[in-house]
Amino acid sequence: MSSENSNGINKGSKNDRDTGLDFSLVLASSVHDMKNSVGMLLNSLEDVINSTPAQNQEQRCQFGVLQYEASRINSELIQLLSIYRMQNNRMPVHVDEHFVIDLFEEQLARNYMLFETRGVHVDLDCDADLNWFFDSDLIGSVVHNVLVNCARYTHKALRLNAELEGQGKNRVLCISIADDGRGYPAAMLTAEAASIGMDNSGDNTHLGLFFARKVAQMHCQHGTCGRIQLENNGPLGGGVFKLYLP
Amino acid sequence: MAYDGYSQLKVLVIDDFDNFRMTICRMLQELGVEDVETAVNGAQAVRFSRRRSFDMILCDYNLGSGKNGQQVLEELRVNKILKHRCLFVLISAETSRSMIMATYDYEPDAYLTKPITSNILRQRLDRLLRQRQELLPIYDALDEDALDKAINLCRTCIDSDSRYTSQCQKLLGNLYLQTGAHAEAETLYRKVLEVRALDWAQVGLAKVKQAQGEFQMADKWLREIIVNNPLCMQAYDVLAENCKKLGDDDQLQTVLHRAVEISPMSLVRQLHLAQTAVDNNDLITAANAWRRAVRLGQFSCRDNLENHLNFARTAAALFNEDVQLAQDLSRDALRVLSEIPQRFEMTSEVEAQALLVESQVLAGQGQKSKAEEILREVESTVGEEPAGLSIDTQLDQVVALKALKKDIPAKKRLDDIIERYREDEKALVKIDRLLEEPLSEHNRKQAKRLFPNHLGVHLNLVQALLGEMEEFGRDEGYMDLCLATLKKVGCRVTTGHAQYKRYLQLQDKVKNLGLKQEGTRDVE
Repeated sequence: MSSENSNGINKGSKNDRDTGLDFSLVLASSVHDMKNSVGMLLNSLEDVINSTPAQNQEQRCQFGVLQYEASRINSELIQLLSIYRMQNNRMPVHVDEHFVIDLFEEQLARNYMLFETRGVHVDLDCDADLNWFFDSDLIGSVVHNVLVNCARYTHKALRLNAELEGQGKNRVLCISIADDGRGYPAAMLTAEAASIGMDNSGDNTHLGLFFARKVAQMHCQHGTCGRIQLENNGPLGGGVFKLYLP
Repeated sequence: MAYDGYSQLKVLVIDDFDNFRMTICRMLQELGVEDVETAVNGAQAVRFSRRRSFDMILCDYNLGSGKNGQQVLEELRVNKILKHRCLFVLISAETSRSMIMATYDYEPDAYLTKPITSNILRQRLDRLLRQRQELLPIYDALDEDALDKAINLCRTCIDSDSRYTSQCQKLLGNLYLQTGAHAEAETLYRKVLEVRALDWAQVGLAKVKQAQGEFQMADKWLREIIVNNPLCMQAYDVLAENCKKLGDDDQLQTVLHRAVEISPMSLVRQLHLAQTAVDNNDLITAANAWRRAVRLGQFSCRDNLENHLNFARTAAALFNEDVQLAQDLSRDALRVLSEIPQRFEMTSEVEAQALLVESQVLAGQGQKSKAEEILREVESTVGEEPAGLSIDTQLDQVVALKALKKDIPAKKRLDDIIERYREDEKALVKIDRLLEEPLSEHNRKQAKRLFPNHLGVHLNLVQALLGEMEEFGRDEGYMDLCLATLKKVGCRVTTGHAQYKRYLQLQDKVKNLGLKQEGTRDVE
């Protein structure tokens, strides 16, 4: 404990040297405001849908689009903010013991309206007593993003599954989310594509995957860190998103 | 898994928006809750909670004017109104990090982010209430202060491999620490840590070490926790406690400083930092911390007149060290002083104190005639016989006189005060701040730390040590301390500094004393 840095307490803050306008900070606070606004918007939308249920299929579709797009903005903004915090080393990681089923049920409740309006059936396959160590907010965000994304690309069904793999110190939790869509594009299946800015051709920045990978990497145990993996031809015929947590 | 006891629950819903309150009430009714009370603001919520005991409180963070949700929880916890058996769920649309961190300090049972749909609410409440149902005997034992019973119940729960083993371990660890069962606590935390390096168990183990008096080890472990998780506020709090036990006020301030940087909305830590900085003669840090404490204190049950006065006092004192900053802070200080009558109960003494401090600030700002007028006003009301006033008020008067450069009456007053409080160590510590050389035992020991803006204190120390040596003879320890202190001051002092002349004089004296003693030794 001799050097200044090793004791973890430094007086000076990182921002001291930055006297000019920090654009990322401006962006972050603006994103924060936007996220709150979208949150309110989603709440009102929920109320509207509840008080005036869809009269026909067309309306149901429109509600579905509204719901989906608003959720997407919301989760993108949350991701942006989280990534900003991660880069500034200000992302609290709160690893504790949780039941995986609680995590799943929370995300399903949160996206209930989304699946309902899009007519997607979700199959939950998880032992009620399965518990593991992770930050439930962060992993919840990852699962949420994948669910919102799947709601768009799947036809009718989704399957959430979690189980432990390996033995002893190599034991990992594997969370997988399978859909019956066309699967992930070939370019996304390679690990490198999941970094930001690799794919400028389309409108997808792969921010979601970047975020998921970052969150996975923040969960380490016995020298191994979490990771994600994308596969096709899953149990429902479409893509599978897998998250491994040591 | 659903929870089936909704119809028996007594629930309080707190929100300033009618709409949201009604929505939540409707959702609760759909779940089967029959007894729902609502409150529209924090003060009402606290009143209702005193009147009857609820099973669950759902509180929005943003409650319009007045207390926010965190301050409601703070008051319920600080005044021990909230029972263990009552769940407190905080609801919020905003998720600013500093807000959440400040809220974590008061440990709400759950945190719900808007938008909240009936599905989300049902899922979360089902889960929370099932857990509560199973742990209720433990909570009740805690509410009855039957700690041994609670310990046994926790053990049973853990032995039966309950779904809530992890919660029980946390409770049990705290209970062991509370009851002084250090060995049991250590075994428990080590067992948890064998499986996974969880923060709460690491902090728990450090607390055990602290309780066993192994402060160095606790220090090392806590710092390691912070390196791995710089946002673990509990580790900072235990570390601060540990620094105090080690008597290291410099480190204490550094730790608190870092803690408030990370979680700036914690009133308790701001106050702790301010007080520590005063003890360390670091007025700049103290003034800033007190300013934030005053701001955070609005609507908090921990708000306190002293914080307001102390902020203004420090701002006034700062004119001796950093005029620029003092100018900036003093405007705020005058505003804070002017608000005292609206926020606190006024007695004639409080009124006198506020005026004396106002006079100090005005004098610092250069508004001499106004400052003098106020001082005269106070003196005419409290009269020439200040013995009935508190030591703080009496010292405020001395400082006000000094601020107006009325050094002779100031000195006379101060001498009278010293005469009156000569046997009162606590008062002496306060008096020392106005003296050239410390009188209290405490401050003589503490004065050796170096703060760049307060060279006078270090010279005071040298002077005190010299005085002692002149009277009782040379002491090697004292001599080393003198030389080391002078060296430190020498690095900082410039020829234009107000203390420069004194520095040179003391340096000469120390040198002479050193030579004289060396000489004597030669003769022997």
